Amino acid sequence: MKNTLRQRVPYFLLLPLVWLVGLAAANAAVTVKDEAIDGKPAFRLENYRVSLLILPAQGGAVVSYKDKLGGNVELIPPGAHNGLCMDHFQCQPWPGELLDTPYDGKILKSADGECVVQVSCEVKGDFRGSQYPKLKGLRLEKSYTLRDGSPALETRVKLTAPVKNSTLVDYWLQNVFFAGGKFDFDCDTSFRPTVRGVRVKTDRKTGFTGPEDFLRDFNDGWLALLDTKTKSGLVVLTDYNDLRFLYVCGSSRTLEPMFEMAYLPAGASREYTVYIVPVAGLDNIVAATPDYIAGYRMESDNKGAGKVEFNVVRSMRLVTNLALNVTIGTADKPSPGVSAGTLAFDKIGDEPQARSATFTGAGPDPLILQVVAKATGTGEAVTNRFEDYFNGAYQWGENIQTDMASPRYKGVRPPQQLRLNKPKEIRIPRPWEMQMWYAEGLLDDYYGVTQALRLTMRNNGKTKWTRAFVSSSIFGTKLSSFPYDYEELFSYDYIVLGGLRQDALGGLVLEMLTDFVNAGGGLVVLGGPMAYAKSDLAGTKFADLWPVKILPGDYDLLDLQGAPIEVADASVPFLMDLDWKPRPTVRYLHNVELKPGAKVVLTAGGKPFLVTGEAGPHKARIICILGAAMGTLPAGQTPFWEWSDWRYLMRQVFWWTQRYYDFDRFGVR
Amino acid sequence: MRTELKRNLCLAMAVFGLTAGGAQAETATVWSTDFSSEKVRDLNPSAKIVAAPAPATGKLLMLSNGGGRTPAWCAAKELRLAGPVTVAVRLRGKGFAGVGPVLNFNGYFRVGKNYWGVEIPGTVYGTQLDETKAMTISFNILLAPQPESYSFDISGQWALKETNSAQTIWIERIEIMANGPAASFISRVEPDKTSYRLGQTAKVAVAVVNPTATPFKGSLTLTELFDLEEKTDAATGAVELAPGEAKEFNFSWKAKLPEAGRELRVTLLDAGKKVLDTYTDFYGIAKDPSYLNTMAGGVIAPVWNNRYNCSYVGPASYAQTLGFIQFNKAMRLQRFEYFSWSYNELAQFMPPKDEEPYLGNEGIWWQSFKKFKNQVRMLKEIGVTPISYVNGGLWGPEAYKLYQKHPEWFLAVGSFDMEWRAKYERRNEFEFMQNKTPFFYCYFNPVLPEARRYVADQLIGIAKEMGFEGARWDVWNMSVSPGQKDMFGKEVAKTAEEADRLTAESLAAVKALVAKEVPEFTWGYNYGGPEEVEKTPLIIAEKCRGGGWILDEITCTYQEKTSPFHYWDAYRDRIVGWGDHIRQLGGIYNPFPFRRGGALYTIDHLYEGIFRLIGGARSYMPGEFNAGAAGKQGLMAFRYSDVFFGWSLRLQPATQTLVKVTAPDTLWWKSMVLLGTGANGRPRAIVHLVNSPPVNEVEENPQSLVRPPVKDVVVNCGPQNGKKLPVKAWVISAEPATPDAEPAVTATVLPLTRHGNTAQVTVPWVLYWKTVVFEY
Repeated sequence: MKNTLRQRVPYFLLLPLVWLVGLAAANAAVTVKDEAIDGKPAFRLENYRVSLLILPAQGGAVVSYKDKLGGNVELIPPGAHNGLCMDHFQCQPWPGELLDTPYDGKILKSADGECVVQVSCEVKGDFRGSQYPKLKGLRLEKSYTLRDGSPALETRVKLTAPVKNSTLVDYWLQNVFFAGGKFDFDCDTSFRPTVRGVRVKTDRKTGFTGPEDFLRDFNDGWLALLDTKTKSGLVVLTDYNDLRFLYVCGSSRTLEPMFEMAYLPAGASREYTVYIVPVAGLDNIVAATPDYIAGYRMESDNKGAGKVEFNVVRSMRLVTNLALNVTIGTADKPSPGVSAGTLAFDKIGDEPQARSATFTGAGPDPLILQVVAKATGTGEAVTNRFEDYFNGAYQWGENIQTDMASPRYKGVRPPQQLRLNKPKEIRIPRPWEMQMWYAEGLLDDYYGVTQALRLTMRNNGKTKWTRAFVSSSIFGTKLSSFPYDYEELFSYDYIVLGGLRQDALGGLVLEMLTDFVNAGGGLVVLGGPMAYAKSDLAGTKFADLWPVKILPGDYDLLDLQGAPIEVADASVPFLMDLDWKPRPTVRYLHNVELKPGAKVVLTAGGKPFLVTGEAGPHKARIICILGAAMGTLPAGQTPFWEWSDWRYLMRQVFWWTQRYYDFDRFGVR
Repeated sequence: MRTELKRNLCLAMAVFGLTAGGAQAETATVWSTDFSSEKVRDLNPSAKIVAAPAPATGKLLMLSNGGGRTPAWCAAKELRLAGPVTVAVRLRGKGFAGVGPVLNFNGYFRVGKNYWGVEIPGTVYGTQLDETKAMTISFNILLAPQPESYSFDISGQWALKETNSAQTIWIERIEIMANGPAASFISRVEPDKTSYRLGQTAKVAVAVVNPTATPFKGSLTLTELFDLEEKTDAATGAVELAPGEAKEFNFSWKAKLPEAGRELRVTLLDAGKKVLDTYTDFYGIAKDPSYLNTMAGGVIAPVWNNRYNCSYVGPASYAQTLGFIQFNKAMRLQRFEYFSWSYNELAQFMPPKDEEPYLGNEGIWWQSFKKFKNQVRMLKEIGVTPISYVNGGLWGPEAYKLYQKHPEWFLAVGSFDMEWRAKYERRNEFEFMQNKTPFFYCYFNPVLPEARRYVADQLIGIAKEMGFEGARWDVWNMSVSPGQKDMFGKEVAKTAEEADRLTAESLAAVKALVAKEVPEFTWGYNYGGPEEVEKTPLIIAEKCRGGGWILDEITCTYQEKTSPFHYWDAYRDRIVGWGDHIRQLGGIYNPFPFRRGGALYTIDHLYEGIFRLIGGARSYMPGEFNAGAAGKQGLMAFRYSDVFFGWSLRLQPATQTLVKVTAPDTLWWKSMVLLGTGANGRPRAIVHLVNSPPVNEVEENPQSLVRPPVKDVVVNCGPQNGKKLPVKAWVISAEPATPDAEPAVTATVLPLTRHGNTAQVTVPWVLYWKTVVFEY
């Protein structure tokens, strides 16, 4: 189970066990005191484990932090832009407007075993003269809570849109500090969980994949930075579902959760919860949850036998028992693997507890460590899973193949549960004004979208066109931009969707595209090497709206060897005034299944080439172009994308899709 | 060859002068100083003129390790010199240990008032310094062949990372020795190429100076020496010079078998056939000159880097290109690999005519096609084989176009970025800044005849139009992996065995297509380590077939503590054993140094160089050791190529009983016994004697401490095939033959005695590495 902190059990419910009470009593009570730095008010929070100072005047950040068990040294170096829990937005260049903004600050609570300090400000949406209207008026309230029995600093950041305007928030929490109190090129080490195992980086040792500052393939909601010499540092815990990147600057200098873009309708709020947990006694981290933090050491003989030892310390909550069920498999066949048994820990505290186990028959290196952890505290037992890639004697010394790019092992990334603030009405406002959003994928430039678009442009100052680009690498497929703001998304009349894979969209974009069509927005889907079957969109809510059904599997291209396009339904208005004499032909065509209500307008080789349909409550028009603009045709044949009238067909497709009123005017719908 | 190139080649030899040299007939000390004329004084806080300690008299230059540059030690003017010159420095030292560099010489011979002069490439190493016993360290320099008036100045620069005033060097004497005025001498021997393919014409220019006041008549004989005692009379010719004249005499002959490194010995005789002077130089003869590439191109790392950069991504003026060419010639290198120079790789190596400059180097930086074409041509003129790196991926606009036209030819799209592509389309605008990667990568389906033809045509194109003589594949080499599917989902290879077979077949098919058009085109490959080919025996066999250059890249990680090979004994057996395996498959072995550019400490450089050469390694990378008293090991392997990497060599198991060495266990030899055949066709047994590193872990000896030499090593060799005993034995070394000698590449006959049913020799001492050869 991934960290889902916002669903956590309220802390005060977790205390009743006798030994916990005893332990809490043994730890000095939490306190909050007013202090001043250069005459500016500050608040000191302190308990048995940590002492920290919050300075509202410096972006409401934590500007001093000491872990009494971790050497009691200052972790935050001097400087205005160093500190913990510093607020930033991804759309603004660093340092952004908030790091130097004076916040208001006050003590909200100092009772019942917890102290709460709140800092707040209003975002201006103005940084060094650049305007960010979608941030303007946003209210940021950040509350720090320290409790008397817990080492964790709870930070809740609440962002509220102005009453009259929506906002678009791409929040980013920065923690800039030196593990162990000073920067060490070799020992300051970051740990981040990914489907390729925990990525471990120091300034000098970044491995074949480089620093990987922006990690996208994370599979849990934590990141850690330790000084491996002093075995001390911090873990940052947050909600896996909210995250966009696990960012670490320069391999080992910061811990920065970057959150998914969030659209906030007028007056709506969103809250992010982050725990800063000190760690002492561990020199690596393989798992971190609100219940425990674990490091491990493993060795193998490259023949399947070996030993694994876990060291565990407490996290935000106290747990009475922790059971780690350990399985070892190979990178080629991680499951079912061989069992190394269950390691039982009890009364996990601030000092590390160690347990070890041996295993045999696991197979040759590299190995995959898989653990099911069951933590029992005062409430219901919490189960979570984690895994890591163990390199052992595998040739390259890390999780990489000999192409120096592809990982040797890649696990499955759990889906992220979305939190989406949708507008009250899912409806694209009229009148429509030739406004198009276009995602250009591989080879989509051959469809001549640009020429067709220019043939639709009107000189009325309202035409709008935006292009986003698709890219693909070993880390997956990406989209360069997206109108995450529903108001902006709904300002487009239609979308041209080029070839892209589902992972470029992510759950958030997929949901918003579905909303777009349901709001009545037009959609043109292009073919190509990354489209339809390759897009991995089959079975999604979005693709369910299309008039064609993507066939199962990754391969749906037919080789027609040069079949001419035939008109199957001459009644549609967008086929007017086209010169078919050059006989445009198709080499490759996506093979699909027609859905009820689909209208085949053009065919090639007896298969649908262009299909129209309507979807959603507002009957959004959708056109699927199934011919792929690629391949070499026999001599003398005209590839459809080189056909002189292809651009006119595309222009009219765009007009029809977005219900251009001229079509209506002449009654040729 | 262009005139300016020829002129500059002369200068280049003077600058580096690492391989060639003369045995001067009448060497005279033309200048010296023992500091006796200096006043006792402080030159600066770390350098002083001091009185020599009693009972000695005179003065010394005392240098304390204060770091940085030292003041000038001395200077001389109006020295009329030509050809080989030796600078000898007699010095003592205190507080130094290990084989690491201590002090670099900054010595220059300058003509007129030129600031730039001919630099002495000298370094003093810790093991060469003793507090009580002065040592003379000599540095050979080649000046221009025609006599010129030079000034000379010299200072030093501390090479130690940390200052330590307790570390002191006393310089007793500095001396310049050169050919004297009493007799004619050879001032330069210059083969036009560093290596010749069979049948090519070797052209050699010999410069002779007559410094006397009388005319000179005599003759020159040119003899090729190879293997242990083989020789061929190459050419002879009469020479005639007026008083004071310097003149060049040219000779030529056809390069003939066998493939081997050659020593060219030129002898100057007077009219009475009395030998006045001899002069030695080196070149190679091979079907593929890469076969001989063991010279230490990486010895002078800063110089190498400087020269290398201008042949890489940076711009290069014609003068810089000349410098790069001169360096290759002076170092007598055989192979140069142009890394990632191309426009769009296999999609289209050479840029369109209107793209100059073009975005090459994987789209990372602007490149000049004119520069590359010039450099390739000029490398070939000096006998260096230009090799094109082949990434294997197709990238950039031409790959994009090809993929659009023939998606069925491809198995995979590696990556793409449509935003970068849109930006690239505006590349001719002033503000354009390139990305760090191309916008599109893809990989062929290698089993398709169309893809094979396309790849072959690209390589034929760069051979015919650019002049490249070979290619070295990197990331992808006609490879298919099990489970890979074509665009219709058809699995190309279902199993690892099938993928192995199809890849090997595809590679062979491309090689055959290219060979039809360019028969001498050579091939090289990555992924040549045993860990990488465990499951692909057919691929590695195909790669090695016909002399494939096999890069064992994984060795660059072996210094890591997680590697089982970061222990020297394990590293030794890995390199020597795998090098033999590659040789047996017909490949040319090219293991990477630690960390690609060499390990942390000098001791590591020394031993990785030794084991790589014993493993038959050829390399173009830095890391070859040529320092201290270890000598020119790369030159040794080149000169005695049959002994160190001849095709007939076969490594014997460590349990072999043919050869036995009586020495302490610290002298390693057991896993380094080979059998082979000499150029004369006679069988031979070879044993390498290595005085092992004192610390068995790589990069755990920061002081670069070494073991004391092993003396009187007894080596016995039994009868081969149970019949005859060896009849002759040699010891080959680059290190000094005796403790007081200076390093020299030599093959010395050892007295052979019968001891039971074995032949026995005694090697007087082994400092780091010596090799004993028994001939049957």
